[in-house]
Amino acid sequence: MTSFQEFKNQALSLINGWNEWCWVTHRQRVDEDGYLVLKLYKNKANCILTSTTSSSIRNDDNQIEDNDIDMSIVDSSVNSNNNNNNNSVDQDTDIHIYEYHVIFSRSYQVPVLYLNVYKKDSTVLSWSDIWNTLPLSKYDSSSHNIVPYFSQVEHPILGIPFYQLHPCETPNLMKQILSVSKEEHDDEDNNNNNDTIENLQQYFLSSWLSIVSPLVGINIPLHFLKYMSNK
Amino acid sequence: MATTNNIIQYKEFSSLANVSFWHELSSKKLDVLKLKEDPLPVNAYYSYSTSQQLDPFLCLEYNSFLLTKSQSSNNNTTDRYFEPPTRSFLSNGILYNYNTAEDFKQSPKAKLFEDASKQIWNDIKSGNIEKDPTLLNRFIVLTFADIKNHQFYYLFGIPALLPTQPFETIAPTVTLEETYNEQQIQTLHSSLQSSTLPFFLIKNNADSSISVGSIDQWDSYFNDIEVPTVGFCDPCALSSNPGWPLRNFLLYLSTARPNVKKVRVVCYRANIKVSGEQTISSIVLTVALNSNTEWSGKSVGWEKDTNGKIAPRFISLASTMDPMKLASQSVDLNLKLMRWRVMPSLDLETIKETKCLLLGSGTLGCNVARCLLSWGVRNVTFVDSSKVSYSNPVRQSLFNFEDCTPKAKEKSVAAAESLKRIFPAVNATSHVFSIPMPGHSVSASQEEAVKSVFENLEDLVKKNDVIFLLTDSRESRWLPTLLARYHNKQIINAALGFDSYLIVRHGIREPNANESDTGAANLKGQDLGCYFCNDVIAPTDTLKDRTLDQMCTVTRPGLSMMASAIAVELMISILHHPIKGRAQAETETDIYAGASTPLGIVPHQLRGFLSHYQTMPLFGHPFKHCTACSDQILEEFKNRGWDFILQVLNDSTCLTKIAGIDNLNQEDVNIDWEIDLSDDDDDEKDNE
Repeated sequence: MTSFQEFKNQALSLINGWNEWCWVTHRQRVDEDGYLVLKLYKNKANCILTSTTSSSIRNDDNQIEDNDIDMSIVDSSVNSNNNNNNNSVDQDTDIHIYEYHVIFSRSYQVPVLYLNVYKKDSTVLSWSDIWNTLPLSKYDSSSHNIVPYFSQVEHPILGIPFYQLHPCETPNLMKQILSVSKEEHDDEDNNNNNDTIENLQQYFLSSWLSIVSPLVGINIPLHFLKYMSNK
Repeated sequence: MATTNNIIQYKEFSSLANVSFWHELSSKKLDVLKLKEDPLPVNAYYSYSTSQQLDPFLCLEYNSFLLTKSQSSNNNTTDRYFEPPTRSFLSNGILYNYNTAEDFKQSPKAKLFEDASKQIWNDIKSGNIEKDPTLLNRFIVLTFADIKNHQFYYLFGIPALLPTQPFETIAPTVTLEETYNEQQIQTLHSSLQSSTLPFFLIKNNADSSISVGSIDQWDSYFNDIEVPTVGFCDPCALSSNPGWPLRNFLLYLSTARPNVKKVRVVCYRANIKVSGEQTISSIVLTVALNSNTEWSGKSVGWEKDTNGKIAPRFISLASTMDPMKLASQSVDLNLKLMRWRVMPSLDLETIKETKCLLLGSGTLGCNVARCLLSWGVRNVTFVDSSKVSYSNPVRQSLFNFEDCTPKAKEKSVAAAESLKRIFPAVNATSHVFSIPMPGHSVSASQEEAVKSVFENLEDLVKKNDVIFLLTDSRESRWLPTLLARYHNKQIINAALGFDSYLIVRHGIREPNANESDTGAANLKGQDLGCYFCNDVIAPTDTLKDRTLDQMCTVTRPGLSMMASAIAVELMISILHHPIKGRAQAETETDIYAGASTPLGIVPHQLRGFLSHYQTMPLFGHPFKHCTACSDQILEEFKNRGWDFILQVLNDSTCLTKIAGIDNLNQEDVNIDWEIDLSDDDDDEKDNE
């Protein structure tokens, strides 16, 4: 993957088959801007939320005056660091929002995964809490040498702390993956020698994402795999 | 499932203000708003839900303070604009930030809410909605940003205007699939896929295809149709309830289209396939519109707090905004990287908890402290009696020119301050005193003062885990050596010559059976010589009668950095040995045989020679008549305590007597210490 433009093209084509991802741009006039964003909503048991029975809703349509709004929280928790959401009855706070960003790194010339996890009220989870929910943590003890790792960095665009999956092994990994699939292609179809590694570069992003996703708790949808295999 | 003649119950929004939004608000408050309390336009968006467990939410992010292209008055193309992400819809908001908790509490909440409601009503009446349907989605947010503590209080209001009569469904709620055939649904999906319209119209064409259009196309869409079909992008995923945006949309319809008695509403939920491979089904309602419906003047939609009452929510973002916490997290994570990538058995927790006492805050003290800091050590105590002089800062890496002037700072104090400036999370403390030294006699008037210094030093030795001996004289090392030996604390001694250095870890006494209940044999390990073990003379006043160049440390500048680094790395190696300070002394040959720690060997002494660019791991036995660490000396200290110390300070010659060196000469057992010496000679030869 040699240019941002190539990354962008592959990202947009990825979204066609896997529409949970969004393409986000920040500066209007800069062409070389944008990245992929995926948000997953998971519950405490780290399952992606699925449908359950619907709750019954009753709108309370009473007009609210100033006095009806309880502002006492401002007095009770000023100067205290305790987050008073600890004993909340709100099921929303049990929901963890996993935010995955895929940003093109110009120095490594590969896509890089950034991750942050927070609750619905914006409380950020600690790294150890995040780490334990990542499938990658289960591989930790046995194969620490080959699995790439996370560190906390400033998000290159947002400037806020994010966890970054180290890109340093990505080029090597992808070289191996793409050369393996090249051999397979060659075996399948001896007449067609056009499948050079360069041609396979167009699957760089989707191939890489298919390897990385399961490690960080992104389920690859079946329809995306079908979509890719039809290509 | 659904019953007819039912008042529609709508699923309300909840707010989701992303961390990046609060970061943005903080910096806006600091750099732009300062003390201004002007209302600020903000933009939020809502999206289709991916789960029934997930309540519809209004999302604010890093870019919420940007205006949309149409909101922006100037057409400057360099401006950045707000754009909702794909498959998301704009909601226009106003942020009221208050400077004080009291202002926030006293804010005219009901009035602001009513203002926003009136604005929606005006837009409905004036026809602005046709031009920009997103104007139906307004919200207000009241905030109090306690920037200093990174705490935020916020209260959202998302007004839904109540009609004079609540809207009712007049037919059972059905699914989209029950209403349209597969091809029509495909048309719907493809028309709405990249649409930014939150509300739309659906027309059944003569050829049984459908068309989707914006709400200003009403007349061309529904010329003579009795029950027109409208739709809205529904952030709710519940099977029988629509989401909040429908409320204002229905009021708009009944006001703008007074002739329409009934309307079919498609609550469109897209066809997002979530990873679980199921989709949320869209639903279709049939709603009665009363011809004379007006806004009742009331509106609802304050967001509740987590306890279900209408009250502000609170969020503390210290963990992502407090630079202190960020620095700590970063430093820890960086060290963990070493563990992940190179050495899984690296014991960072033990290192972090190790308390280090640095006796001497000169070149060695400064460099040792910096190296400890990079290893994640959090507790460092400096001891020194001198002040920072003009010549110091260039060599002593924790000091600056400002530490010498206008008034010279105490070295230990300046060092601790400097360490905290580098890394505020470090617990660095300082003590100003000079270590009592043998042969430096104490007059009766000084006795009390020296005694309290002694007690302070003993206390520090007891409280710390590792003591670095980094002073510039030989005799100042005697008392700490004795105290550490007595209290079983690890000493790492570093000494510099002009172009050579010596690092020694002093031995730790063998734990006796009752002190350790875990397998004594296992813990036995090895005793090692101390700095004084190779001496047959007692330490005495060497500073007397010295020329200036001898008093100052005259050494090659790089030496201190090398020696300091090795001293710290030696400590790290010791901490990684299962029996720590009792670890067998290892030398170069052990590297090949298999080192005892994941970091390599744990040597006893390291002698470095800059002239040869060589460092050698060496080993020396403890000397049973040592003037600092032998059992006789410890016994004497145990029995007489301060009295013994005072005696030594006044006349150090008593040491050789108590240690038994004097006897040694008389008893003619020279062979014993000649062997020791010859060991030493061998070492020297190795070095040549």
